[in-house]
Amino acid sequence: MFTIAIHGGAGTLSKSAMMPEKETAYRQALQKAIEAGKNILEKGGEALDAVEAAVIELENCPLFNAGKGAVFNHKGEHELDASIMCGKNTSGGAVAGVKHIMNPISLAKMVLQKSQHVMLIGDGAEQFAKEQQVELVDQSYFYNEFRYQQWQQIKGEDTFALDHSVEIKNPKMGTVGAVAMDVHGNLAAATSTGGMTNKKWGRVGDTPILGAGTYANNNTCAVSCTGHGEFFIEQVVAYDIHCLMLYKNLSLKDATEYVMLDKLKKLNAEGGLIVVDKNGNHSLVFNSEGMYRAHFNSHVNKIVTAIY
Amino acid sequence: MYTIAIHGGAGAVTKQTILEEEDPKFRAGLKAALHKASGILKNNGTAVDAVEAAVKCLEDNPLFNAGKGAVYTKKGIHELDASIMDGSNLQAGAVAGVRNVKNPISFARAVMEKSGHVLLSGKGANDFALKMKVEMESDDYFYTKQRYDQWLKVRHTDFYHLDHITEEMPERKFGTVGAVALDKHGNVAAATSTGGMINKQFGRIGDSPIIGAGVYANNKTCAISCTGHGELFMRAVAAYDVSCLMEYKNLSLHDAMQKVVNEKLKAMHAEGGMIGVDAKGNVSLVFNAQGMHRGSIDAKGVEYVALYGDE
Repeated sequence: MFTIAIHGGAGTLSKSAMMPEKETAYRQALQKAIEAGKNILEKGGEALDAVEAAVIELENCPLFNAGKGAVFNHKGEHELDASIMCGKNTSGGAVAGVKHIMNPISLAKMVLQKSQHVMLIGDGAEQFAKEQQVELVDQSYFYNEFRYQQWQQIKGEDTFALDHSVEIKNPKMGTVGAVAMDVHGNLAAATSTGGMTNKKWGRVGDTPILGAGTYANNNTCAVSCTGHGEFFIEQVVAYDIHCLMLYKNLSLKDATEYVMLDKLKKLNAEGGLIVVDKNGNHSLVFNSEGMYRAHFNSHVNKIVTAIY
Repeated sequence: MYTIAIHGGAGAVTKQTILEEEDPKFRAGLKAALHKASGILKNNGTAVDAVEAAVKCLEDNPLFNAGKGAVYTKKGIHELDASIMDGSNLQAGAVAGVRNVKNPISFARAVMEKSGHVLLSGKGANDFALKMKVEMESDDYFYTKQRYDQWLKVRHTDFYHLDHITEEMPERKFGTVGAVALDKHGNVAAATSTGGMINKQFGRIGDSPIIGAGVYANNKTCAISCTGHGELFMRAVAAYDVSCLMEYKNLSLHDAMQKVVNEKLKAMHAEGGMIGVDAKGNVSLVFNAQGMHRGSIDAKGVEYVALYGDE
C-alpha cells in the first residue's frame, strides 16, 4: 500500500473568478505532478524520491510559485526556499534564499544526503550546489510575464503579497509540497517556494524550516504546509501535528483540523496543509477559500484533484 | 516572583579542558549577565527585556561564541545567528547569517517588533539592520586572538567544529549563548545567539535562529534556549518538543527537558543542553555533555553559577 498527496498553494481561489481554461491547466499540472510521485511509489520506490519527483514537476510548472514560477522580490530577483525530510530516520535538508537553482527541492535533498548539515543559505548554498555539480541557471530562467506584472503593481509600495494572484488584494499562498508513504511504510515530506511577491530583507518563511513548513516521522506522519509563513513558524505547525498525534493520541483528522481550523484560524493565519500518516491515511485541510491539491491512495487507485 | 537562567555553551567542559585562570573569567561573565537580567526583572521589567539584556552581555564578552567572540567561518569572516521569542503572544524574531551586527539578539528583537516577518537572512537582513539603525561594527571588532589562532589551525582543512573540538585543542564545546526568564507579570521569554561552527561553510545555519529548534517561549508551558549539535536539534525540533510534552502530555518542565535531552537527543547522539523556565517559577538546566556554562536565579532568589557536570 502507498499514498501520496500534493499541494500547489492555498488562498483566495473562488470558482467564480477562475477561468475554465486556467482551471484545466492547474488540474492537469496537479495530475502530472502526482503521477510523477505515484510512478515511483508503485514500482516500490522510496517516499523520499516520490515527494522530490512530485515537487520537481510543480517547480518546473510556471503556474505555481516555486522553481520556474517563483515570484519577484523587492529587488526584482527570485529567491527560492525548499526543504525535505525523511521519516525513516528524521533526517532533513533545506536551502533558503538561493537564486540560481532550477530545482531547489533537489538541492535540499543533496543537503540531506551529501552534507553534514541541515540548512544552507544564500551564496554559500550555491557554492555547495557547485561542488555537487548542480547546474546553476540564470535569473532569466525564472522570468514570467504574469509574475512580472504582478510585481510591477506593488513594487513601489512597502507591501508584500504572499503570492501571485492578479489582484494582490486576494493573495494566494504560493508554495508547493508533497507528502507520501511508500510500500515499505516509510514517510517523507517536501516543500518548495518562491516566497512572497516583493519580499525584502532576506525574508525567510516557513518553507525551509523543519518543524514549521515540513516534517516527517515514521512514528506519526509527514506534513507539508502552505500559508502565511510567519505564523506557521511561530506555531511550529508541522511538528505540532506530529506532537498532537504522538503525545495526545489525536487522530490524523482531529490533529490537522485542530491546528488548521482552530489554532491558526483564531490567529487569522490563512493557509493549509497536507498530511499522510503512517497507516497511509491522508488529510488535506485549509482555512482559506481554496487550495490546489491532489491525492492518490493505492487501495482506492484513483487520482483526485481539487481546488476549492 | 521572577526567574532567570542563562547558558554559554555545552560540551567537554571539564576541569581538564578549562584552564585554571579561565575558570573564574567564565563564572564572572555568567554572573554579570545574570545580574543584568535580574536587575531588570526586579524592577518590574519584562522577560523579553531581561533575556535580551543577558544575551547582549554574553555577546559582548569575547569568551563566548556569539557577538564579539564569534568564531571564524571557512572564509575568515563572522556570520552570526540569533533569535528571540515572547511567550506572552508567541511572537518571534530571528536573524541568520548576518555580518557586522554588534548585538544580533537586539537585531532579532527588531525583526520581531518592526519587520512584519520572523526570520531575515544574509545581506538582505543587513539592509533591514541599517534601516533600523541597529548598532554595527567593523570586522576588526570581532577579532579575538584565540578565535583567530583556532581558525588558522583548521582553515585549510575540510574540518569544521560546532565550536572548538579537536584533540589538539584544549577546549571542546558548543558555542552558543542563551537566556530564558519569567517576569513578575507572569510572562516568559527566550533568546539564543551564536557565531556558529568554527570553519563553517556553505552558509550553514544551525538551530539558534530557528523557532522551535534552538528557542521557544509560550506562557502556557515554558521558555527554552538550546545549545548543542544544531543539525540534530533542528531535526528533533528540540525546544518546541519540551513545550509539547508539557502541554499535550502534562509533563513537568524538568521531566520534559530530561526526556528531550537525556533520552531523545541522547539516542540521536546529539550532544548539548538546554535551559528552561516555566510560568510557575520552575527553573531547569539540563545537558547530556560533560559540562555546560550555566547560571540561574530561582524564584527564591538563590543564585547558581556552574561550568562542570558535577557542580
